[in-house]
Formats: sequence, C-alpha cells, structure tokens
Amino acid sequence: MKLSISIPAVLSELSTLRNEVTGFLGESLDDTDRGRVVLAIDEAVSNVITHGYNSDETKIIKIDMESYPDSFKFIITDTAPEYNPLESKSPDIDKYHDEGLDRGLGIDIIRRIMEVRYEKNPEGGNRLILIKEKINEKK
Amino acid sequence: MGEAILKITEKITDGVCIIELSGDIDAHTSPAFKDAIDKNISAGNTRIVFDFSGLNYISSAGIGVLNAALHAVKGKGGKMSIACANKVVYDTLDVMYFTRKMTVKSDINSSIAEVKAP
Repeated sequence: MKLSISIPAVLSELSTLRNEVTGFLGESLDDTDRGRVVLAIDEAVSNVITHGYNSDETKIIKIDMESYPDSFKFIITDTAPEYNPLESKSPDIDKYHDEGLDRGLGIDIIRRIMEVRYEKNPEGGNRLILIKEKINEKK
Repeated sequence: MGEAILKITEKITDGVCIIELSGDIDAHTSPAFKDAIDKNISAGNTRIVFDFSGLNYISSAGIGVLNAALHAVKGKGGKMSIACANKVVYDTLDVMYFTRKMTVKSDINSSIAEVKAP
C-alpha cells in the first residue's frame, strides 16, 4: 500500500500530516509504536519547515508512505539546502536539562524511533527515509 | 482535518496554578503554551500543575517549553507537576527523557500535593 501527500511549509499543516500518517498506519502497530512513528514524522517535517525552508510558505514537502509486510517506509522530500541529519551530534541530555534548553532533541528522537537513511534529492534538496519494522505488530 | 487546536484554561486554586491543556501541543501551538506559562511565572505563580487529561499529543516543541519552564520555576523556588497524561503522551515524555526530570501523577490532587509540599 502506498500513499503520497504534499504539504506547504506551514506549521499549521502538521496536524493534517499527523492525521494522514495515523490513518495510513491503521491498526498495524500498537498505540505506543503508532504514536512514536507519528511523532518521528512530525519532528522530521517540523525541522524541514522551520530550519530547511525557514517557514517559507511557498515551499512544498512531499511525504511518500509505503507499507510492506514487515515494515513501514516514509520518504520525506524537500528542496531545501542540503542537510544530512545523520551527521548531527547526539544531544547532551544533562546540558539540555540543566540549562533548561527548549530545543535540540528532535533529530535524536527520530533516530531512536526509526531507522534513518539520507539521500540528496537529485533535483536539489534532501530525501529523508524513515523505516519502522512491524516488530510489535498487533496479532 | 484542520490545523491543530490547543485549548488552554488556567485557574488558581489555593495558591496553585492549574493549567488545563486540551488538544495538541506541536511546533504550531507550542508558542501559545509558552505564553500561558510565562505569563504565570511573571505573575509569581511558580507552583504549577499541568492537567494533561485532555491532551492528545505533544512533540519536542512542547517538551522544550516544559523544560525551559521547569528551569525558570526552579530558579524562583517553585515547583511543577504533570497529571493525567494518556499512554501516548506519557510515552513521548519518556522517550524525550522528561520523566527523568518530572514525575507524572495519575490524578490532579497528587500533583497539587506535590507542588504544595515544602
């Protein structure tokens, strides 16, 4: 099963995105895993909107969703400046807490929830590929 | 399916500020959440309980707001507590390490007691 959606780079579109991802996942995962996948996609797209596109509402993000017998795959494609999140450092959690920081965990969370692959978009920009195995699939 | 809606209701009960959240806290709605907390801290309300019973979703943007607020509140000798998070919201708090910093109570009265304790 496959589904493709495109959204403008507007934070108010995140709710629609989460609804689409939740609907695509259906009942294949338990509540916790479904919530985590939705969170990871939301974090990834939020980063593109805020950092990649600097909230330029004329820009578009494409999200391809694919369901396989053993896994879900999400491909997030943008035309923002090249940025490979796999090259970012893991956050210092103690510093995050001690200094009361309000950002910096998003990429780490994505990497902890899903397998992450990065490719340059051949048309310029980025393709982030997020994979979740259906190891906790409901019986 | 429209944009995320976050409803914020605040009340002061026996010296404790109770902030009720209903809806989603994401990168779009987190500024309103931050404004509500900052307004209370500025007013000297540094014993704060968050009622999450109506909250469906929280992202790192919302947890960042909580983390910054906790730092500010502690700096003023205050306390914060979270009550009634659903399973998915609790899991997000846990995945983002926030349960290391704050316990999540199962009911409002336990959170009120926690922030009122010396």
